[in-house]
Amino acid sequence: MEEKAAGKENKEAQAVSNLEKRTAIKKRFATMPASIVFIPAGGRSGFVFHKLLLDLNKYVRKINNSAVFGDILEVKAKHGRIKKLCYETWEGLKDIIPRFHAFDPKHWADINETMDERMRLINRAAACVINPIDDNVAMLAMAIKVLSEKFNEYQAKSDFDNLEKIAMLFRKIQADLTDLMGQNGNKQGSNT
Amino acid sequence: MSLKVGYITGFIVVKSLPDYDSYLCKLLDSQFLAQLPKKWARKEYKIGESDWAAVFDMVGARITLSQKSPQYVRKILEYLLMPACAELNLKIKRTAWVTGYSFHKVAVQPQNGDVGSSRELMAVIKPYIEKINIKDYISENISFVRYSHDLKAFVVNALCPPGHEDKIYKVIHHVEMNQVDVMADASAIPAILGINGRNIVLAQKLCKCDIAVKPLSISVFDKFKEKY
Repeated sequence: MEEKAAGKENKEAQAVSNLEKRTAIKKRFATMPASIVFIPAGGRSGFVFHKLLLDLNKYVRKINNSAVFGDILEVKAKHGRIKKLCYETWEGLKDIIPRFHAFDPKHWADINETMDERMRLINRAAACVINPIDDNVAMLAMAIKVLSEKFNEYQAKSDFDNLEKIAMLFRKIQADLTDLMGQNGNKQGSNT
Repeated sequence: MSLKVGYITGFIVVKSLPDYDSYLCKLLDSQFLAQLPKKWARKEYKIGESDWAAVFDMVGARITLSQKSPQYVRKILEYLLMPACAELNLKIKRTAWVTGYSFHKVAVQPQNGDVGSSRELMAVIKPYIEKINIKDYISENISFVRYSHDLKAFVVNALCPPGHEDKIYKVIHHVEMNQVDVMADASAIPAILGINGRNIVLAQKLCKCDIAVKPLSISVFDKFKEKY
C-alpha cells in the first residue's frame, strides 16, 4: 500500500515537473516578437492544429533550404500552394466572421496580442505557441486562432449553426494541410 | 485587443463558479477568461449572456471584471452622456461608490460657468438622461455633483442634494488635517447625513477629504458672527 502511494506521489510530482517545463518552454517562445499564442478549440483533439502548424513551419524551412540546390520553380510552386491555402482559409473565415471582411490577412500582426497579453495567456495549460517562420504560416496560425476564439464563443452561446460552419472549416484546413505536407511522405499533424 | 485595468470590455458568460461566487466569462474578441464576482455584477446572468464590464484587476493570468467599479461607471456614463457632454461642455471628473450603497456620486465639471450648483447641473442633464436607460448599464442610481476646484464649494455640492445649500451656514477647510467642517442648521443635518450617514461617506470618498458636519442653530450662528 505504501509503495503504491509513494508511486502515485512520484507520478504526480513528475506530472507537475513536466507541466512546469512545458510552461517554461512556451513562455520562452511567447517572448519572441512574432509569436502567436492561441488556445485551440475542441479541447485535447484541438492540439492537432498546433502540431500541424509546427509541421508546416518545418515544411516551409525544408522548402526554403531545398532552394539552394533544388529547382527554384518547384519551390515557388510549393510556396504558392501554401499561400493559396492561407487565402482560402481566410475567405472561409470572412464568411463566418463578417467583421474581418475588410481585413487583409497580411496584416495579421495588427490583431496579434502584445507581449504582456501573450504572457498572461500562456499561463493557461491549454495554450499553444507558434513562432511562424514566414507570413504564410503566421496568416494560417492567426486564422486558426480567430476561429478557435469564435468557436469558444459560439459554444458558450450554444449557437450550433455557426459551430457547424467553423467545425467544417477546421476539418477542411486539417485535410488541406495534411494533403499539402503529406504528399511526399507520411500523414502529418496526427496525434494518433 | 489591448487589455488594461479600467478598460471596458465585452464578455460572454461561460459558466457559473459557485466556489468563487462569481461567473467565468470569456472576453469578446480575445481568448482571455475572466472572473466577474457576483457581488460586482449588475444582475444575475445566465450562461451565454453577454454584457459589458470594466477590467478591475489583473494578477498573473487572473483577470477580474466589475460592473460597479468607478472606471466602469465613469466610462459608461461618458458613453451614454456623450451628446450632453458635447453640447453642454461637461466633463466627468470622479465617481464614488461604497459596496451596498444604492447610488453612485458622480462629479461633473461644467466648462461653461452657467451651472452653479448640483441641483442646476441635475436640471440641465435631466432631458438627456430621460432619453437613455441608465438602468440597462448601471443598477444603482446616479447622483450628479458639480465639480469645483475649491474644495469647500465641492464639499457643499457633494452634500446637496439631498442637503440644502441655504441651510449650510459656514464651511471651514483645515488644510493640514485635510478635513472640512460643515456647520449647518440642526434641522438640515439628517438630510445632509443621509440614511446611516451614507451621503457623508460617499461625499468623503468623492472629495477625498474628511467631512465633519456640525449642527448649529441660526441664533448661535448670528451670535458667532457678531463675536468674530
